[in-house]
Amino acid sequence: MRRPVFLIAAVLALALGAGYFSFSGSSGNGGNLSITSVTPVLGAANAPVAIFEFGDFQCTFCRQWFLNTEPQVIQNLVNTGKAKLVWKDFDYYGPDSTSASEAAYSAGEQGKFWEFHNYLYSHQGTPNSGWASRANLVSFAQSLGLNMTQFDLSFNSGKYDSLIKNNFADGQKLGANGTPTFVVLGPNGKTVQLVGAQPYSAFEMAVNSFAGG
Amino acid sequence: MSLQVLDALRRPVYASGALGISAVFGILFLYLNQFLFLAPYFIFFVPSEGLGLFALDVLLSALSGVVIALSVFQIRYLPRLSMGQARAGLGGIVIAFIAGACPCYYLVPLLAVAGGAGGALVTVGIIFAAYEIPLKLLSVALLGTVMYTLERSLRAACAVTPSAAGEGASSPPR
Repeated sequence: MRRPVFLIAAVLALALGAGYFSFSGSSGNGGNLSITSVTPVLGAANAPVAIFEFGDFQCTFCRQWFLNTEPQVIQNLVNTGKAKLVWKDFDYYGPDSTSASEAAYSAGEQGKFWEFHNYLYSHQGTPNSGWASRANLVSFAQSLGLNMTQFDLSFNSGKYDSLIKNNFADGQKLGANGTPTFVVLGPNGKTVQLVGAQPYSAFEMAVNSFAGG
Repeated sequence: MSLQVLDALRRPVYASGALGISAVFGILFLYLNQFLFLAPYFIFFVPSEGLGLFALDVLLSALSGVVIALSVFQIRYLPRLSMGQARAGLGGIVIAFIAGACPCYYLVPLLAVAGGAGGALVTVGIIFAAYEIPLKLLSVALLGTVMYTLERSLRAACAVTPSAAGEGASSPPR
């Protein structure tokens, strides 16, 4: 009798521990958030609230968020000037994730970061199955009509290596431990962290929480 | 003819045990599959393409709770018959847990804890995430099989055999 009960208790403890480990979502200060000239930003630069997305192009939950929530965020928060959406890669799936980020940044040099971002999520396959191989990423760039000479030069230069590493480190410092993780930065420097592919209502509440200081 | 497993679950302690365990697994599965968000706002959200997985999570949670409660019932009242089924039941729970608890999101916190082993954990997590639905279907099948064997063993324990008839057949107390 004692042994099975112990096993049941162990399984339940493990289950609760797993939930605790991945449980997060809090308020704090956005000390590690910065927007540089190469940071992809969607929306008005002077929008009072910034929604930082820490994502991985191979992450299935990021794709879910892209499909289910991002359109509403863009329509109701970004297009109305209430917030801007800022991309920060948090690549942990493997080399293909890093390549996808490099390709997206290279597309960004031609003003097509978000088109490339959308194309990647729309064509996402099983992680590390080769769908985001360097050869495929080049063909995606061709499909989007990018200047391929310029794209290839940038994509193969390794110039975004440090940015990608820094973004990952920034995410970890902010407590991100998975993707997608969102940090909603208010005008007063306070932040609300949303972990996971949360629905639009969570973003609306987070943005509205800053209203009135 | 009533099912013996349902009879066992009429006892309040096992019914509430099954309900409690199902609730713990349900909350965990729904949380890990990002149907339930606890912070900073409590939100329940099932996108249309996630309905199948949501139903699977609910079924798996319910079966897990019932199988654990019945396994304990068997061990408590039928010690000589129950160990095999109890082991099968616990095996089913472990598989159900592994299948439910390995979406990609879950393993990254372990990555931070595990250091050098983190890469291997992420790889395992990615594989589990890619095969999450087949693994969960396998878990449902395994838990269903365990339920069937529990029902059979309970029924066998309750049967009045000629040799036992004179001495009083064994039966789980109600």
